[in-house]
Amino acid sequence: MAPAEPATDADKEAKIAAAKAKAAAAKAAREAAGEAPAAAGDEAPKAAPAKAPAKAASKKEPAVPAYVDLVGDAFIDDLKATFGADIRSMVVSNNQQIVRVAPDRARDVLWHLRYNTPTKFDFLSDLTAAHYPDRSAFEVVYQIFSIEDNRRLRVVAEVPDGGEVWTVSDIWATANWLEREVYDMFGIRFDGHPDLRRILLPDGWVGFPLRKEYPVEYRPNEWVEANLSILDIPEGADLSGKFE
Amino acid sequence: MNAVPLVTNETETLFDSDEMVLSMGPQHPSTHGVLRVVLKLDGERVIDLDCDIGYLHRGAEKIFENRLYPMIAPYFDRLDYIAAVSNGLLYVGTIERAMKIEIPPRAQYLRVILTELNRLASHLLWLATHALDIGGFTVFLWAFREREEILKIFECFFGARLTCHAFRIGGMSYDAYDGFEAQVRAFCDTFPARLEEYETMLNENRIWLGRTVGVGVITAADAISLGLSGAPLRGSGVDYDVRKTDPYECYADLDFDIPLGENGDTFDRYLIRMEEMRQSRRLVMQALDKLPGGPIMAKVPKVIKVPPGELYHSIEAPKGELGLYLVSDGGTKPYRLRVRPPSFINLGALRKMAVGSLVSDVVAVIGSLDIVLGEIDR
Repeated sequence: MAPAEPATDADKEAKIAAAKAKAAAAKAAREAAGEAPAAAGDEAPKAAPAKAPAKAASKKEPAVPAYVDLVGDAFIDDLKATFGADIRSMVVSNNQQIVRVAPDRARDVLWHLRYNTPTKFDFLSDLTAAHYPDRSAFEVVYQIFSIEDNRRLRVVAEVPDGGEVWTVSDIWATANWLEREVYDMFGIRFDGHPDLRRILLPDGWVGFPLRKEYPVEYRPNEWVEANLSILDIPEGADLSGKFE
Repeated sequence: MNAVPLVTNETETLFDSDEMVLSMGPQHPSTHGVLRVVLKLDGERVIDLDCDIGYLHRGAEKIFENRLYPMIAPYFDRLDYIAAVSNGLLYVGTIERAMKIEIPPRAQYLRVILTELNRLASHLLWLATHALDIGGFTVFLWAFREREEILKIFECFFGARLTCHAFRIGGMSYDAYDGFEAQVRAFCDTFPARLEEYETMLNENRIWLGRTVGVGVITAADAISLGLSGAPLRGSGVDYDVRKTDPYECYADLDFDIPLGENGDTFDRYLIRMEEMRQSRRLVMQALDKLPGGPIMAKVPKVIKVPPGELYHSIEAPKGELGLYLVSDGGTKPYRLRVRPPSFINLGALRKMAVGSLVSDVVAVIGSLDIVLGEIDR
């Protein structure tokens, strides 16, 4: 730490304020203990209010919206003009462009982006998914990249639970394994995929681990019993795997 | 992990006695971990193959969703355990970007020095094992000698040789120790001569040339379509390096070249990694020259909370483009954290590269892809 930095003044003040609040909290706790030594359980709730204002005061940044509408980009506007309502929204998050499309048209949009647009997105960086049980839907996420124009774009297709999307493994060969992984982890089926089977988990595994309802805890499992010969789990072993 | 052979017999030659199915691995030394390759052979020639992966699957992405942000970092050291520093850089870099934390320049330069040293260590391990697979035992011993020097530096810096939990969200947890610069410079001074030694052993070696030239050829168009990155992509002449296209840390201030191949074969990939080692050394020297003073940690809140939104950040790891896709709901744990593993995607090209060649070439191609199963299986 360099004490001569100009930023350290504000730093110091914040530290002093924090220290004061801490001292006040400790004092309150001591007083509470002194008044009612038997009621030790009261200490914590009394100390907390003294701390809270100091914390709230340090929080001064206004909340930035997670997603901002994407406007004024000629390329994206062209895409919108071509596909109309099938482009559900165009947004920016952390300065990265995201295009949300209707799931049944995702393949057409990606085909168009690969072959027909002025910027040819020839590189599929990544293909993955995320589960949103509150909407009972999955987002299939395509991270595409144009090597020539050095431009990234994220195409997101929201698939309802149990729905399907068309494969893109013939547009980008890399999607073959990536779609298998998404199927393996989420159970999303890719229509027209040449070889859709599990890739990381063994055949015969039940369930799709990256769905939110899939528990982190170990639970008795036929495949494990049959194949891994884990016979006894000690009494009272903590298998929750959770951190609270 | 499939009990039955995975290769399906598509043609009507089911009972052709020339064909056989051979399971290579998962304990085969040349598969660099627990990779099982099921080969369908006609004599010595590979007609079809299938990779069986997942033996090391630990459910890392599921674990991430149930851990606080600072607790996730050590898991990244165990993905690509050969390049733990690079993985750590990706993770902290992503979180810093999402939280909009500016890193002090000294921390940026130290990160680059350590990451490039890690690239050297990773490439040296690749050279050692690749040469060993093909039969060059001397190079194996020599490359481990140099790697040892780097691991000693890591041990002094982080207290660990392999799973270096190197960086913290907001900067570095330790500043350079006394003698760090001298030790790194001493290594950089001797290293070019060592590289020349390897090249004397290999570049004109008849066996080495016979085993690598024209083996596992992949065209630029195929390489792009297969999503290859790192040396396998640049070996085919495609100019794509994340350090240049989307510079992170202080790479924009440093001068280095991206070597490109022409033929896309195993020999070109070898030449590229050798040249990359020279460039990494150059980067380390430059960063040491420019190393600024000042703090090594930015101001970071006590409780790490990432604002809602999503972010994809990638770096040029020794194996290729290592990416991280973060979806945050504003809490203290990520909603979804997805690793784009370069080894996984590069291995997907094995079928394209090895079908039609000999069994012994499969070993050479796996070696030249430079895969780490810890990262493939996650």
